[in-house]
Amino acid sequence: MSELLRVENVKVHYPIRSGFFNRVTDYVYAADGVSFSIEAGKTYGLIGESGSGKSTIGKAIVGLEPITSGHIYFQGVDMTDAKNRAHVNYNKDVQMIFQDSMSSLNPRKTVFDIIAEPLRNFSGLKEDGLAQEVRHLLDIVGLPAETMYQFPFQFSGGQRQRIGIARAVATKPKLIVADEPVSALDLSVQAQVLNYMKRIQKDYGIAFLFISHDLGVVRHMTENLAIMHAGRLVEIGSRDDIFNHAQHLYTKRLLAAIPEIDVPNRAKNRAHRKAIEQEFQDQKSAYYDADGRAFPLVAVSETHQVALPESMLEGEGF
Amino acid sequence: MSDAELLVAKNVSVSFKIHGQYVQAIEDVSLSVRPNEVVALVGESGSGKSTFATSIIGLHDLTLTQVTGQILVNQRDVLNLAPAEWTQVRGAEIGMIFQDPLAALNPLMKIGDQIKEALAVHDVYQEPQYNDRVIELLNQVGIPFPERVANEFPHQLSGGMRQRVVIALAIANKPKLIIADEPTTALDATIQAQILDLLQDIQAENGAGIILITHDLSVVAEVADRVAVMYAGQIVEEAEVGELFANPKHPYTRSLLRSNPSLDNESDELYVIQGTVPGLTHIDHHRDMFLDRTPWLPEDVRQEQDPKLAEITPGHWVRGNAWRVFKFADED
Repeated sequence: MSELLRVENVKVHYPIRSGFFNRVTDYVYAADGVSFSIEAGKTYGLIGESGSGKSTIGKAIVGLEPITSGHIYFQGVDMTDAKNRAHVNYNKDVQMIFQDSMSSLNPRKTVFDIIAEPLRNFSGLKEDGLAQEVRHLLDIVGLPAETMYQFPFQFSGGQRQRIGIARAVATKPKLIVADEPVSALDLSVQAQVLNYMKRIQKDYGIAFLFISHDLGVVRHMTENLAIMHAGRLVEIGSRDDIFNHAQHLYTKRLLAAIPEIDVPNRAKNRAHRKAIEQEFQDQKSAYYDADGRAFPLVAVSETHQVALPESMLEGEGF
Repeated sequence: MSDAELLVAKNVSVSFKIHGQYVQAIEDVSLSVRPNEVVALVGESGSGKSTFATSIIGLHDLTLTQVTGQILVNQRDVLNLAPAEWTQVRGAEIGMIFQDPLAALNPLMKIGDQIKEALAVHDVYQEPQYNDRVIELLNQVGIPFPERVANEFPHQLSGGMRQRVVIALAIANKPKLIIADEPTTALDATIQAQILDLLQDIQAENGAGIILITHDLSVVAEVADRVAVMYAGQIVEEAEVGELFANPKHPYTRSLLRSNPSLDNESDELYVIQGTVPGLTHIDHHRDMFLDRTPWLPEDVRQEQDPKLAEITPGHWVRGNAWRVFKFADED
């Protein structure tokens, strides 16, 4: 148990302005009180539909999104205080892999410059050492060293995403936040990128926060999952907790919605999916409070937390 | 049976003019669709599945594209129709559901008016019926408060609701053949499930035949009756859905299934198909291009000339002979 990162009651609210004086009339609650913690070297999946706030949380962690309130602790130090950030090398230790590899790589820079930039910032290596290190990083993600002086547009989508991975690994970070890193890729390419990420995660003992809407990919990549809905977490648990013992109705609905390669049972699966959807529509009010927000998370086992009111937990426990 | 077929495409080839030369994008594709049937076309991007669908509904720019072969829609040859004749076929006999609903809808027109426009092109419904038909359609695709939505613009709707409107447009004139090109790719899992259910309900009501184009094998397993797998512009395998997933034969089909993360959740490494999909100008249509990505197979297997689709068991077609000896590199 060595806690690397703790997100505590983080809220990100965007103001909605309207009217003649352009005054703030309301807020969008992109993230509305999110808490979880990440242990060193472990993998976490953050799952939700578009608009659930999962990317907002990812950006808040790496510091790309100013948070409205709450705290993010990295190795016990509060990162929401800018003074502390530089002090503990937070920007070196936490890296991000983005969804769109084309827009996250500078089109005017060569692969060498792209990967060397974080090294120049943090490693203190000089030119010879830099070239050697970049070659080594390209090797890790399976790209030949000759590609070093090419530009991003000269690569396929899968190769570009691997450049993004090499850049993220360059500073030897302790945590990588990957926001939908494979959702733009074809199946055969996706498998390759996932394999590289998994291998690097294991070899270097990096903690991973994998943000995705694709439960199949997340199930493959991560041991711990968090389900997010409308800016709040509704369930946190191990792979087994979520896939075999889901308790929140929203989690069940999300699981039922994943199409499965199971042709003989597809009529049964479809009926099950429709039944869960109906249940969700009918009983939604019981699972959310009067404002439509998910309840606070309650621990039901050592690894498993569910956003349910006390009354619903009884009789349903383990 | 054959006289009831909604679509018969025979030996369809499509070439695009690139830098003054014609480059063949799809080669000798044959496919038929019967009423009440969902036929899935599966393949990675660049495999030619959308190109094929575009030629069925006649949306290629013929100054830059050559389409040869035979395409019969309700026994009518549509390959050589004049533009005015096409207007009668599109919408009335073939409906098309596009991937990106925001691009498929006119942003400046109210939903109801867009549907009325589609109705006005054909004489299936007459003017006084239009308003009722709009509400009926919006109801059918599961849009709540159809009277209100009919007066709204596309940007006021969510992605799932927009896709429902696109489906309503496609079925407005009750076409018997519906082409759905990646209808759920842009949608979240729960919305995707609802849209797939909706497609199946519509099919059951109208007795329509659906061509479902997708790269997602699990979507295929959920809704298709028959599956054609495409690679580099050719169909490499075709079978009933149960048969295809139980007994996949072609190396490409087997590789795709093996690299799917949702099937293979416990093992550490996902199967990776070596290499990449070949570019249009690098395709040799006299060979099975996928075998370039299985270099461990013997040379004579990979270089087989003019591999043909053959029926190996009733209804199950596989191209070439490589499947008979195919093994994964790590198999004994």
